[in-house]
Amino acid sequence: MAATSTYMASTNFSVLGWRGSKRELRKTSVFSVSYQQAEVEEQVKTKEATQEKDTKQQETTPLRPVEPQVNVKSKNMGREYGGQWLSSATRHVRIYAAYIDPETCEFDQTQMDKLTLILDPTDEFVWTDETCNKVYSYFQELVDHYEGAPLTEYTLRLIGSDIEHYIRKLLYEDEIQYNMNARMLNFSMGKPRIGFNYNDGASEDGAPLTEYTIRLIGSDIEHCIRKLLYEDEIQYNMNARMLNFSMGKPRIGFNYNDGSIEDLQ
Amino acid sequence: MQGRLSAWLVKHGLIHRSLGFDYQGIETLQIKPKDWHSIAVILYVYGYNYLRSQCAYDVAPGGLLASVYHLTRIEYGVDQPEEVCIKVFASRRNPRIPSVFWVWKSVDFQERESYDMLGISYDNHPRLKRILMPESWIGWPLRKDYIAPNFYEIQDAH
Repeated sequence: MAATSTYMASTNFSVLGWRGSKRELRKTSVFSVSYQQAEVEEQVKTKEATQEKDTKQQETTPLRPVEPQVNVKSKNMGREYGGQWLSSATRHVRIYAAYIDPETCEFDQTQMDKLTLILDPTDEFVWTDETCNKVYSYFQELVDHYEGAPLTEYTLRLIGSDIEHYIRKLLYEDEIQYNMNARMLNFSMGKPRIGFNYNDGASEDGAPLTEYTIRLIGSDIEHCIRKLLYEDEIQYNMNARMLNFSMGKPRIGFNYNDGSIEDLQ
Repeated sequence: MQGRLSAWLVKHGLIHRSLGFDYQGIETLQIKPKDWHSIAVILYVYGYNYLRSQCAYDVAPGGLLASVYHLTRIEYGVDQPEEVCIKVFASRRNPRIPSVFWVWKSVDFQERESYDMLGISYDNHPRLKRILMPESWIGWPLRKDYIAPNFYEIQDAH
């Protein structure tokens, strides 16, 4: 996007993305935006593009992965370097200005020209390669967009927040789903709703399936039960564990229909 | 209506404007930013040895920024010490107010907070940098024209 760049680090702003997961093998989707590497990667890219679907690649920003490195060692992590790193960490998106080895998790902070995206480390969503690549290409697009901006936590947080919003959009558009086997199932992006459409904010047929609607239905059933009780079609169970007559104490000769009490005999 | 300090300042030819009295009857004065440092020194010499609080606010959308100082004169054997409230207004474009850190040291963090929240730069403050927000933050959160960024979730745990 920004053809001219003024900031030194951003000319070699590179992107390295992988999705951390304990169970599966770690996918190493590694991107770069540096000009030198882009030429090298182009041949690989075109090969991949022809192998896979061409149409989908055109819509999204093509990924420019960084070449995997060998013998990466954790560097600049100690207290003498400040003991902190440039990052934006939210629940589903962790962006670090460093090279992180996907296999060994070595964290090389000397390579601040690369950005590493760790997508959904807590496995809250079910990801496929396609949806992963959507997020990666959106990340690539954002990194291109922010080229020239200072490499600060604030910029990384802007990028990370945009990706989080994008993930929520994917969730609402039903492209990704909550992982029901996740360790924590707290639906951090909203409870799943059936028939809810993100686009027009209402379901296709009738009322949206919300707690409110369900409560309306449940209340109607409770009223129906009370009517049955008052019409003497059901009776209180005198052997119930709690006998507190929650729908009114039993009254003889009380008629629900006209609301009057007949003469007691 | 003129307070005691205002009369004293007039007697010594110091430029100020009286803003009346607050609800506790404490005199409020407005002082220009360029006079503020010298008047602060004079007030310290006069006897205001305690800066009770310093704060800042945005006066109006597109208007001035204000820095407020509450001064007290602490003496032995006095149960109703003299107090005064000083307001210094600075333009929104280039808000520069001389720091009174070298007069009252307790203003250190409070001026930093005013800088952080409203972007008033206090000249001669020894370490004027953000104190509440992260250092790379952009914008002044308590200004009336501040627009909060659309962050998803803010946490610094990782």
